[in-house]
Amino acid sequence: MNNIIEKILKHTKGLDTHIILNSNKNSLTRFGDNEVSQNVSTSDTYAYVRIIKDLKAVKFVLNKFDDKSVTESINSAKEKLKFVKKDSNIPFPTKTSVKIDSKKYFDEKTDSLSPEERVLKISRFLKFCKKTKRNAYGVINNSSGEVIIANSFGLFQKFSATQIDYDITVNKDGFYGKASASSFKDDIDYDSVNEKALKKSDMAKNPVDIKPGKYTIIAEPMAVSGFLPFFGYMGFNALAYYENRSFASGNIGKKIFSEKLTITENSYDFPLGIMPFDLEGQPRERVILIDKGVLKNLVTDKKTSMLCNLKYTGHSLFEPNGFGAVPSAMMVEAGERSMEDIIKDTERAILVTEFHYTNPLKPKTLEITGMTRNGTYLVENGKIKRAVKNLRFTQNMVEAMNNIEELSLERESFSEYGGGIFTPAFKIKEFNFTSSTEF
Amino acid sequence: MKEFLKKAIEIMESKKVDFGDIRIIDERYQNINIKNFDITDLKDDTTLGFGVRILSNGGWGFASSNTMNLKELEKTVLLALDIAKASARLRNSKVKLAYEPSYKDVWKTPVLIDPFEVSIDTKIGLLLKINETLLKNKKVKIANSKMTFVKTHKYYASTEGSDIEQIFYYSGAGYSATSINDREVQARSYPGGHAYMLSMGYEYVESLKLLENAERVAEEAASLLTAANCPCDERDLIIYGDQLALQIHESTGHASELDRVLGYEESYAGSSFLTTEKLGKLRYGSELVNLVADTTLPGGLATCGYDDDGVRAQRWHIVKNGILSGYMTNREFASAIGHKRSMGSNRADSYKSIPIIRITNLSLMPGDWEYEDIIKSTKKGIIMENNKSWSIDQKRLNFQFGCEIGWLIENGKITKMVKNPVYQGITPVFWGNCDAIANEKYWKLYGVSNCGKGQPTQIFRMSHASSPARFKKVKVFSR
Repeated sequence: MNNIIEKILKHTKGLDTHIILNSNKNSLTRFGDNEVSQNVSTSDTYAYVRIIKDLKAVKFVLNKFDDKSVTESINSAKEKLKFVKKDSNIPFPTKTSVKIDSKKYFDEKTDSLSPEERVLKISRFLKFCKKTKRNAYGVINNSSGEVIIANSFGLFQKFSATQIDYDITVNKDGFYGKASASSFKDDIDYDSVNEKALKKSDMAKNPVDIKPGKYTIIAEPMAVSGFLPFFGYMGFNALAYYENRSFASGNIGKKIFSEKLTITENSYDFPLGIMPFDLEGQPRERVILIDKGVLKNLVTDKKTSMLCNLKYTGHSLFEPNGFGAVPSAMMVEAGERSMEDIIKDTERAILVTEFHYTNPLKPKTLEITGMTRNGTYLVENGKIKRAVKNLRFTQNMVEAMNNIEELSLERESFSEYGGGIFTPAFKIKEFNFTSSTEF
Repeated sequence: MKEFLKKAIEIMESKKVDFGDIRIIDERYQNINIKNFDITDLKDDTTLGFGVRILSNGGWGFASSNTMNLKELEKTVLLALDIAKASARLRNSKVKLAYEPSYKDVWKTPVLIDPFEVSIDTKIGLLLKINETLLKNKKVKIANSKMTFVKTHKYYASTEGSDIEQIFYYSGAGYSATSINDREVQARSYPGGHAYMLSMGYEYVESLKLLENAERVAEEAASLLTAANCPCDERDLIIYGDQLALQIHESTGHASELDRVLGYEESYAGSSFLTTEKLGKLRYGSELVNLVADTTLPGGLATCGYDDDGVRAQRWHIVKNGILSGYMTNREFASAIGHKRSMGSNRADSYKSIPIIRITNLSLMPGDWEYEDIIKSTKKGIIMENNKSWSIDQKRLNFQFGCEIGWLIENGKITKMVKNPVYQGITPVFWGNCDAIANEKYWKLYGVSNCGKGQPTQIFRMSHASSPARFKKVKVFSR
């Protein structure tokens, strides 16, 4: 890895050069109909390079590192510099103020998990499903990666991590239940995940129609992961704020959500391995985004910190770009009571396992639509009474975050959009379901 | 490259695999984005790598690498073999591939102007000019213009004797104008958010009339801020272009992918209501509805000589006169449902992805209406243009699409512009209510360049052609 960086820096002497060197290994076993359907392993190394001269920037990506390929890519980029106009907001070089070389989230065993071991982890449960006339679908995925951020000013940041993800959907007679777990090391309790999916599928049988309308919902953490990431890149992104297309625009310091909601961007205490520096090599700050409903801060990259006159929080993507800054590890503060207790105290609500195919309609109010999936149930008088057919919601999510009644004590982590969220379940009143489907 | 392919096949044959193939992909990807006169992205990427697929004992294994030497090749082939053996331990039955002859061939996208021969200066100049035209309208706060060009050189060889070389070109250009006030954000795009690429050379960019449309697009983005909201009622809907392409894509394309139909995509994107017992029987749409898959379609983003199973390109009906008539298939799943041959829909988005069934070019065939007559014969309707949001349930039944702009029709005349139009429906009911399709004069090809599927997720391209079509009694509202 270091040789590649040296080679690129050697060939770009005299230019301000920034390199993101990313080396990955990803192995995934996918199963459906109680059998392995796909089983893959990939390994590769990519260099993302930016050269700057006279306030002009050009980027390129390469994965061929012989002298000829490197020279050709660099010469082609240099040629393009002639046609680029000067940009006074060009990313300024990051110096090596805090040097990071982190392997805290790297687990050798997870890195070396073999295809046979992955298959063994699922085979007993898949055989059980086959025997009991159920179908199981899902993935078990172990990955490892190393990222080095280096530049011609001496910056050298390094981060290595592993991750294992498991999700399983169980289907009995067309009634589905799903559960999942992720960790940076192979300590997943597969039996417990399988049991949860099985129970959800069993509870999903014979769903009844329910009239679309406004209902109190209890969105489990997996369902929350279907809408919370939009708050990150469309809301807490300082560029969206600057361009007046975010719910945050003009609202810093104001109470915009329920006082029950506190969200912190924190890659240091996140359960999964999240890079502690951004793609410019700047250490990430812990940022309080929402404090008891009050919008406190946004995340910034180099450019937006200048445009908005805000502190640079270390959330740059590969600059320059037109996207802005994105939180990488949003942690929602837990509530005080367990899911079980929340359900016990609920008179009537819809319990949602997962939201499927969520998509925003309006950026400023975060109006989002999507379907329920893999276990939707009616809670009445403190008990999960029965399954209901899946529903489509179309909901102003800023309004929904004002309608939070309670958050659960339990939290789960999910990888979303290149980062992660760690969230409890949300109980939200007056959630708007706009249509239903046939199953 | 040929030597590398040959060596891979030799190693696979020495290991006595049931089947094996290798794809080497050498790709160049150029992208330019300009936002409010700033070049937010100017990159020219070059990547090279190979992927090996092995069937052993009835189980699949796939491994890939970007290190192009013989030691790495051998290591990768052996890893794919190990994976295949592990897969075989947990199979209900052995994978069998539908028959396909072996081919030795070279295929290339026909291009008039190689997009990589056009100077960066020319490209940036045009994109800046578009920015300038859009921003002349003072209500437009964000102008985005972009171009993307891809050249993919693919080498394929299999243990069955196929040796195929293909060169694909993809070119795209488009832009958007965004108007913003304190309450809302409105945007118009051209030719469409999803539909900006085709498999052609730079001649596609020149054919788009980008500058000629920029003033209109800016004006519409500005006007949307003060336009009335789309009414909430049931009325006839007319869609075309980018939006009809996405309607075909989501409600027919994905629903007809045979791996989804058989449940193998359930863990991620879902399954399909088009289950195999319905083939040849289910009324999917009205008699006017003919949806044809075609990997030979000139300009289509899924157009090829051969798919990644080494199956030759072809054309077939998915829906014929309203009846479900076919699926997107590959050799594995065609065989699983007793079909003798695959239709050739197996594709991977890169060297490091295993080929999976993808939507190919899928088009709504033209009807015999003049577009003007469709409008004249609509009493209470709405035209919706260009997709803004999309969502569909996991069996591809309940869908909801939001569009950039709507135009109300009252008593056969277009009356006024409305904002935030959304429509909702259930797939076979919606297509069953298709009562008018414009003729071939209006039939146009649009690309979808951001289709996600599979685990690990693959993002790939395909095209959908259509003429404007009308759908009766659709639930519309404003969001």
